[in-house]
Amino acid sequence: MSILMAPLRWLDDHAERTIILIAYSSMALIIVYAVIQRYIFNSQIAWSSTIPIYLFLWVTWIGCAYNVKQRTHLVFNDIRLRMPYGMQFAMMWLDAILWVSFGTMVAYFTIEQTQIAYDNFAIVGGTNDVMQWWFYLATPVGWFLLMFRALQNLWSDIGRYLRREPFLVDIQSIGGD
Amino acid sequence: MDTSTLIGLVSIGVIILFLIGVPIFLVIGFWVVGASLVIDFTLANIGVTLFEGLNFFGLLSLPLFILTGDLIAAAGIARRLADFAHACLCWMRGGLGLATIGSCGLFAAISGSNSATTATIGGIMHPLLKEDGYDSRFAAATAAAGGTVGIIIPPSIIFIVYGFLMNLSISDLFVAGILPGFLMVIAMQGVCWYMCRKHNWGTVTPLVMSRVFKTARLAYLGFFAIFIVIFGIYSGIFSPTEAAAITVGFCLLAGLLLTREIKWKALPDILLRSGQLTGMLAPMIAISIVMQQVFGLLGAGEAVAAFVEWFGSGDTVTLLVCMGIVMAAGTILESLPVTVIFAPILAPIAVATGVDPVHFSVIFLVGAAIGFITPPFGLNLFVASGVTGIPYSKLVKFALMYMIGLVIAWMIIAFIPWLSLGLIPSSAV
Repeated sequence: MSILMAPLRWLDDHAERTIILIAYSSMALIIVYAVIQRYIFNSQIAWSSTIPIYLFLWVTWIGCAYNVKQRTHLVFNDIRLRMPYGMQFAMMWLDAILWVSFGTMVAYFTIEQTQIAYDNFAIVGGTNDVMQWWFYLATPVGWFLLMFRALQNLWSDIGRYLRREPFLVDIQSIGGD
Repeated sequence: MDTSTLIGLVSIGVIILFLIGVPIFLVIGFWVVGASLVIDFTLANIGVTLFEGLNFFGLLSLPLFILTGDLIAAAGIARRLADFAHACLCWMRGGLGLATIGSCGLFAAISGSNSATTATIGGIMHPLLKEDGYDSRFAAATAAAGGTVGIIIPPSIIFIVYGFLMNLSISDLFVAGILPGFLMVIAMQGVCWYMCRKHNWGTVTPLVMSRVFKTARLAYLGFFAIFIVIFGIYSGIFSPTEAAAITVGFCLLAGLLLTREIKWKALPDILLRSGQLTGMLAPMIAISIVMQQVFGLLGAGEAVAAFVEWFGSGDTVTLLVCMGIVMAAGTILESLPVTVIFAPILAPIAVATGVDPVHFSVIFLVGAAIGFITPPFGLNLFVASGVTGIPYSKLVKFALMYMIGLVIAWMIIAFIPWLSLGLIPSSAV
């Protein structure tokens, strides 16, 4: 059982981190290399302006899920900070319900879009065999991960409530600092 | 019930969600869902736009400039710029305070974020200011106020967002921010000088040219990065995305090989932090595009125009009302939601009265930047409080002093269009 749990725990800790690192560094490296190539060698790889945009999609939506995990999305929390304990617990439920309901809708429609790209064998511009749906998957995957993180947060909030511990409502989003 | 009543109810509902602390992304998202249902606009549009809305090469400068900000802080370049600013200004009363604001201006010319500017410069300068006899609350407020130029002096993350949403040239916006950003720095330095003189804060030391040259030599990496960004974009050699890419490459190599303050082991954390901020900003851009579409279908622009006209006619009244709305919104919202919600509504109204769209973008974003130090939600005050350990409420009084200087600068920027448009090569003022 513990053999099974170890990789799951690793995934739980590192899923967003790993994807963001791969997508962000690949995106930055491709653009930097393309600019150098254009100015120094006077040439350009055809896909250097298309693949980075798709990698940006992965960074965006996995980053969005990571912010839910860290509870660092922008909020106006002055009133919530002053709410009584029970009310704050209700707010935690509300957050989770809203994320999951909005996420379900987004995931439904973006799966549809991914399916269309898959059915049409849509290929990324400037490439011969890189399928668009590999990158389009970023949005539904990001939103499924986001909903999972929202439910995980709710689960830990229920634990806090049962132990009468304070909730995490005072995290400030300070733009990555 | 008619459409306008239902839209009003949906709006009241999401305002309540906002006030009780629901993430702003969801607040906008549910308004879009509610309004789409009311006007019978397909919800599939939300999915498609979240998909396709970010599919624009120019937007890639956003994650790259975010990464630049994190890299210059980690590479020690910011600290060297701060040393240079102090060496230049130490002969004046309040020289270290003036240097803090000057350092913010220099840092802002490489990074595009207000909070990164406040956190980095505040972290470096606050202990020095305290040591030099400044009131620690004033010192923290100085870093918070200085950080406001982070989104005005190019590069600017919010200018990228604004240009993308309003279909304006990001290069033009960057160039338009140069003089207004400089004016903001001067205005804040004026306030700082006045306060230091009044309270006799800080020590005055003679200007030593050898120290100025020495610190300038050590800060050459920072100057070179500023040169790449400002000159590269201004001269048209680089697009903003290319300039961002070159700056990322340069700062990374400088940190790894020249200053050697970035360790390979620290790179994943730097990238993750930048990714986290991208994951906060980009989804807001995507959802705001859907909101803009719904605004268009609802004719929201006409309704707000009627509201603005209610205050009186004339270009000046319209501009002042728009500025008032931005200022009021900035007291409770961060610059990104202010931009994504209000820019699509206010910009067409101001432009219709004859204000240049690029000039209005600067007016709008200077107003949003002032919001960073206005309570109750002054983001830079929270950041400065976090970095310095001074309680938020104790910073407010001193921040309001800076606000006066910034509002004066804002008025000058609003009523002298040349400051925003004069440097743009294609613009005829």
